[in-house]
Amino acid sequence: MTFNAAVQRRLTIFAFLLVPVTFLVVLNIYPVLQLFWISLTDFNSINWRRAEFVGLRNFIDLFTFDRDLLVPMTRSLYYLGGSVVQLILATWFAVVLNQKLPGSRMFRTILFIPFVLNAVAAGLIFKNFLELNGAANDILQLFFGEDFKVTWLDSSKPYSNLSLAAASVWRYLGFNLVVTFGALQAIPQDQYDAARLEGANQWQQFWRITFPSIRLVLLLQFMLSLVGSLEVFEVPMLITRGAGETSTFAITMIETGFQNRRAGTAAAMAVLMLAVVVIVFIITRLINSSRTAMKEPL
Amino acid sequence: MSFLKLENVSKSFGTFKALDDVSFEAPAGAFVVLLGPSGCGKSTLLRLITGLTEDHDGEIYINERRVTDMDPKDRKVAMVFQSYALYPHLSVRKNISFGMEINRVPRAERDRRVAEAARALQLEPLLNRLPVQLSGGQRQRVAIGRCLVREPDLFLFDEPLSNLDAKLRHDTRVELKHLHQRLKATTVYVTHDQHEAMTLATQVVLMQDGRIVQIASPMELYARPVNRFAATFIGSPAINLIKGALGADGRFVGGGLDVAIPAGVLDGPAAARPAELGLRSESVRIARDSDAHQTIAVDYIEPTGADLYVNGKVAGQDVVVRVERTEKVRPGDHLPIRWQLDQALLFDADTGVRL
Ligand SMILES: Nc1ncnc2c1ncn2[C@@H]1O[C@H](COP(=O)(O)OP(=O)(O)O)[C@@H](O)[C@H]1O
Ligand SMILES: [Mg+2]
Repeated sequence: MTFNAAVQRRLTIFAFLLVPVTFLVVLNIYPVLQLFWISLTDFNSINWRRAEFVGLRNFIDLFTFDRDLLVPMTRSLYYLGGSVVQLILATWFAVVLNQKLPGSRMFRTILFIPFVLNAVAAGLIFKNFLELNGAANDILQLFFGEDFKVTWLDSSKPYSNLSLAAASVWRYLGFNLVVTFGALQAIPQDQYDAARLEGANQWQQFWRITFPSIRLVLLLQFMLSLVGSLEVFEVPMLITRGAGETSTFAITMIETGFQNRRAGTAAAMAVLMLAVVVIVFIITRLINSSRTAMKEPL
Repeated sequence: MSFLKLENVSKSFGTFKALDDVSFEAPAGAFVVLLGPSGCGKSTLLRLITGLTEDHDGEIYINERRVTDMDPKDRKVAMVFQSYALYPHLSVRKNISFGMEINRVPRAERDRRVAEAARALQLEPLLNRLPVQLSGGQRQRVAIGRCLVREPDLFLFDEPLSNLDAKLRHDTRVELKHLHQRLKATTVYVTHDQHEAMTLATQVVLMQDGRIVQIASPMELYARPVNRFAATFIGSPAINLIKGALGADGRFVGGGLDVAIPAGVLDGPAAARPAELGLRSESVRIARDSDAHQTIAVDYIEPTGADLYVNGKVAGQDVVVRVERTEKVRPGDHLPIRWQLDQALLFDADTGVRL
């Protein structure tokens, strides 16, 4: 039996898609569907047979007598604030490093290292840095005297979240830097030359040429930060073990699901987080498309 | 009185000397074309005039002002870049008024100048478009408009036609010429295309390897090039060069020729030396009688419409000659030709200098 060309082409496409589609279904779609299902049951993380369908009870509980479980979500604000600072710093560094000064390559590499560093190693480095007898206090003692000591990582104090947000900035700055730097490289030098001839100073060049050209890349990064700040896990887990005031929504979720054996509630929390992420994503898209529409002439 | 003056300008990048002792002057209203092969330093020279490239030796004066140490924005120069360098997120109108906004020109005045430039360049229907929505030729006109509204002392162009197709290149060239004749704005124009230089320039500055080879009007450059490089760079097809020797008696012998060089061809008295005889493709006619100098063995023919360019061999050397389109010539023919030696150019075979 022979196939004509069109059928053959379709078969080829089908054959190529088979593997990725299978992976997608098995590794993505199935677990997500399962997550939704679990969030509607009182599954205790151990015994499937004793799980019962409870409808939206888990969700209702989250907003009533399980409300404490949602409190860690507010700590995302520390990380969100951190990532705004991080984005501004990264953009500033990228613009400076884009001036083709000697050593700019080396600087870029140094700032990127924390990002490629193993998460545990990065956590340990920052933990040592902020320890009571760590480098941060040592340096500050040079200025404020021998008695100066701050317990940066005291997880019973809310301000320890600032330390953790700083760790997060240090860890992820390199990523923003490299992405923004890439976007800057795509702007032709001629545009800056033309602007200089017309009398634009550095500041005007940034706001009138650089910023409009990297606006979308910055927005995308901000969106990633927003989502990222809802899902913070690694940094507090590795530095303070997510204790006390430093617990985040993701950490609470894991505790609920595995330590407290309340998989149904944990799944409901995960669905809630997913919903927030999706909403953030949609809002960003809307802002973005309305901006593009405004720019569209005629 | 010179309007633009460069004095002994040199520029090095590290150990590489990109410009070596460049000096020239141009009067107000001149259309100066910096011409030369790729990499000879034309763009570098233009950027030194703008001040965008710094740290050079020598002095630059524009409109009686010494601008050598001046910031680019204070030099009153405007430039059309090869890439046009339009701001992609700004409309045509905003692109044109960018500099005026930076310099806080009042709104009414801005609008007036944009309207004026748009009229001159037929940009009126395009003012609200973004650069991506324009063709290459339209983008170029926007880039020119952006220069016009600034009312600069000096217009600079860096290979502005190189991104256009052949037809548009011709049309834009004509427009540029019109514009210059109307505005009488002093212009420095960079190109590697000798045809552009010939058609646009009032003054050609021919460059090679960072040095000036010759400064002359287009016609003079064509008729009296200072050396073999200038003679071969200008003119299409390239000038025919026949190797041989010049005798003290004023005869050239070589490549199957033994001819007396007419008076007026040589700048000085004839002295015996190895030489090359340069003959342009039009300095020839088909010989009817026995007055032929040589015969050309025809390889192939390029019709241009107006004429035929006959490519072939004369005494083993490749030669191109132009003949009337009515001539019946076929590949394989042997055509008797007679050179018009009063239009010949003679070069020293070793130094390349015209004799
Ligand atoms: N910024 C620079 N650094 C090093 N070399 C350069 C720089 N700009 C130009 N050059 C060199 O100077 C020479 C002249 O360049 P350019 O002026 O751009 O030539 P053209 O415009 O005539 O093609 C080239 O060999 C080029 O490689
Ligand atoms: Mg160039």
